Amino acid sequence: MSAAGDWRYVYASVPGVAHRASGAECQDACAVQWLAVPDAPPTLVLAAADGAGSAAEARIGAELACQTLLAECATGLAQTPIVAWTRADAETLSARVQAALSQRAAEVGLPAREFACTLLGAVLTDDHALFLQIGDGAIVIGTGDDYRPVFWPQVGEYANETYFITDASAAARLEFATLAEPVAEIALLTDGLQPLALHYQTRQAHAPFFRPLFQHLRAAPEPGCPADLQTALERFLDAPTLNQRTHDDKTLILATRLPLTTAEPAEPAGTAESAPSDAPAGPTPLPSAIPEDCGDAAV
Amino acid sequence: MNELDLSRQTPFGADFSGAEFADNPEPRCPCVLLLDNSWSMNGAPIAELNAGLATFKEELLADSLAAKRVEIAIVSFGPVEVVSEFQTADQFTPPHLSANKDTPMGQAIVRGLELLTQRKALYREHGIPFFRPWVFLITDGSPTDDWQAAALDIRKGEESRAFAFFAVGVEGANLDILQRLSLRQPLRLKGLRFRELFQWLSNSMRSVSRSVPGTEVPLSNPATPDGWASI
Repeated sequence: MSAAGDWRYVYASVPGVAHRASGAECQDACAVQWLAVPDAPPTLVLAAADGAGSAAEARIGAELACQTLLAECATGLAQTPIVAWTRADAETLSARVQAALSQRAAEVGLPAREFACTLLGAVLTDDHALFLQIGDGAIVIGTGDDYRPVFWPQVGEYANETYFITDASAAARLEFATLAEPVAEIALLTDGLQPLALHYQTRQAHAPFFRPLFQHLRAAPEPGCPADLQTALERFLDAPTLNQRTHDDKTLILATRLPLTTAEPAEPAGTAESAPSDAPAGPTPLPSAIPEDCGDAAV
Repeated sequence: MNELDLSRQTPFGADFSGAEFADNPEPRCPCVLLLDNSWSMNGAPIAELNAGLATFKEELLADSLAAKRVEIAIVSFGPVEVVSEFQTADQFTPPHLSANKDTPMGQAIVRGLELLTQRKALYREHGIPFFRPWVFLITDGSPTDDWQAAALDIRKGEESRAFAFFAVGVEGANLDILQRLSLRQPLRLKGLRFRELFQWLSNSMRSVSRSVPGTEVPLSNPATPDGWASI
């Protein structure tokens, strides 16, 4: 087994045009870790966070939240096997992320809300999965053809309102789900991509957004995180077609363990490479716009 | 209510109302304009107001996101008429208002807030996220009808955060009544600076329409020496 089992994955956080125009930094972060815990099945852990626009240290908050989630997952899984996890364990996990943010805030003499961010997390073994979410963004799982969001993004009454891990009510707001079956493909995305990746009317995932991206990823020759596709994902997230639809920071994590062969069933020829008008097929090389380092919390 | 209120039923044509959301699933930023076209607006004021509305559309179109997100509805009063149902800025045609009769401001406010309630229901039905709506009243007079019910609706709406209500008085307006209608400080238009007013409104709606969770929307103060308003 390779360093990542059968998983192929890519992940990137790219600043939105609004932040780039004002010279502000990207306030999203994401992280992926392949865990080899003794006496436990190999596990893939994914985390994404969107720092609140109003929070002074949003970027640091988002990065710290992702890193803490990974570390606490490793600790937690060493104590409790994934199949035995309950909501209480997930609440403990979120409380630890919250504590880490509060502690960092206290160190620099700021209120915890200055580190406010949303949090998405997924823990995957061969035949089991855990998901948790506070705030907006989405975790989307798929079979290779159909994709569905595990939770619907948490929003307040209005489109510019959501919930954060630093909220006093975070534990109560936490969404938690387990799945006692294998997950073949998974995506985590922050709200900057919601208009493209989700269909609001039916509250479903927009499959044409995901299919071409996963098809590219499945084609990577080796499991793990292919550097060329990683760069391509950053370019894709910064493409003008995307930026026309969203001015916000954008984070996307994609992970698949489907082989390329089963990925193209009876699709008409050309589907895999043709670009649906609303979702450019895969990364398009662009002359301009080299994404600046966005603080991916890479492991 | 003891009789069937047909005006609240879904009209037959509304069966197709969802098409615009399928075509454009962007979150919406609704804005209701309540515009005084009573006889006293005759001449330069109404001409400048019309020019301001054209500016409003132009400025919103200059922003590709705002063009698809900001939705405008217009109720004119003098008499009360829904001049423009909710439409995104890219679909909106600025009306040409002419000065007409009296100033039924109370009824116009109630009608505008009704439009807003219906629109929000439609957004929810179609799963369209939306931002906090703005209601913008512009008048040069004093209500010629009962405005107490309207004042109550405004108070309730502001307190429940259902919308934000702004009142602007053109020269001759009864600022005292505007003060009692609006929880926010009414603004007095300097001269006939309608274009500047609508530029400001467009900028504000652009800010709101791209605001992200956890962000306070920064609005520029219109009552600066260079601005279009005074308090």
